[in-house]
Amino acid sequence: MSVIDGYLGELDRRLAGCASFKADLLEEARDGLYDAADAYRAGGWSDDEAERRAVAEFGPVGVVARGYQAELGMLSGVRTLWKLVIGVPLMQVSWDYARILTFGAWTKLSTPTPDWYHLVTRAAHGAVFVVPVIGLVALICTRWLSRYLDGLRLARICGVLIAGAVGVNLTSVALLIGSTGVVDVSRLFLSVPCVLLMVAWVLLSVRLVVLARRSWGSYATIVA
Amino acid sequence: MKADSLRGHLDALLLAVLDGRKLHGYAIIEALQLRSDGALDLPTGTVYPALRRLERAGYLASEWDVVSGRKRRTYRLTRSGQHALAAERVEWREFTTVIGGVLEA
Repeated sequence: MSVIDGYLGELDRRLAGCASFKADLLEEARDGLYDAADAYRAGGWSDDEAERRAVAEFGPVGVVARGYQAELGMLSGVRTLWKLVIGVPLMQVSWDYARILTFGAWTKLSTPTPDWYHLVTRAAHGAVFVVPVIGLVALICTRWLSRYLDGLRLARICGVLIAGAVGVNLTSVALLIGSTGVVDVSRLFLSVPCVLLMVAWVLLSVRLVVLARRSWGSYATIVA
Repeated sequence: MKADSLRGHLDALLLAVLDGRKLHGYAIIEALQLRSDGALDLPTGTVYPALRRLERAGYLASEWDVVSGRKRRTYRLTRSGQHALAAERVEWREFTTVIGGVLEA
């Protein structure tokens, strides 16, 4: 194995994130290293020495990996933010639409609705708007802050915003389903499409938590 | 020159090197070293993530091109990058005028 391949293998092992983006970053690094080695070869150095010099100039793998990991973390963060911005309101609208088509108006309910439940549903529906707004603000901030902050600080801010938005979403979903179950469990099973969409909503919320954890883990990898 | 003192200016230096031309990563690094007579001494591996960050910021655009028979990612300034570079140049001139005036008095 050549010196450059060994170095890139070590860099690859230290990076976590989207495989295709990682491959793209590593390919660019490989090009840069081979270009540098070619320049040293042209200066009269042997193949091995040229590659060793190119790698030394590229920087210690631990230092270089931080910058690359920050970029990988940012990409995964931005993807999670788009899922929040589009996925959360889409689930709410789909569920409401399915409820209207397959069940009908809320006035058809046979059990009484306590006042506190109205507050819970209002808060949960409010969260459906708050979460994508946080996501959009985070996406705008991510682009704008890229002009002023280095990748490491940016990844940290992005991680905090994602954690906040995902937390609000998960809390609202849990609160809505839990309180509906307490008031009248049959309301959770209005129709088959509503049940399927509710399950999809829960799965999306859990998936978002996993992605947020990954994003945070990516930040932890950078500072480690 | 110390890497620490460069870090804060790396973005402006990268934008300046790309002013009016399209370059791949290693050519950018070579241009930085050439323009500074080799005084800019920083790990070249830190330049590539910085280029990606500037692209995300909207200052650069990139694409895979074939350069000298090899596939390479090339970067160019966007309109927003040109404005940012112009602002950096004005700021730098003001900074050097003020600090120079004090240090050389």
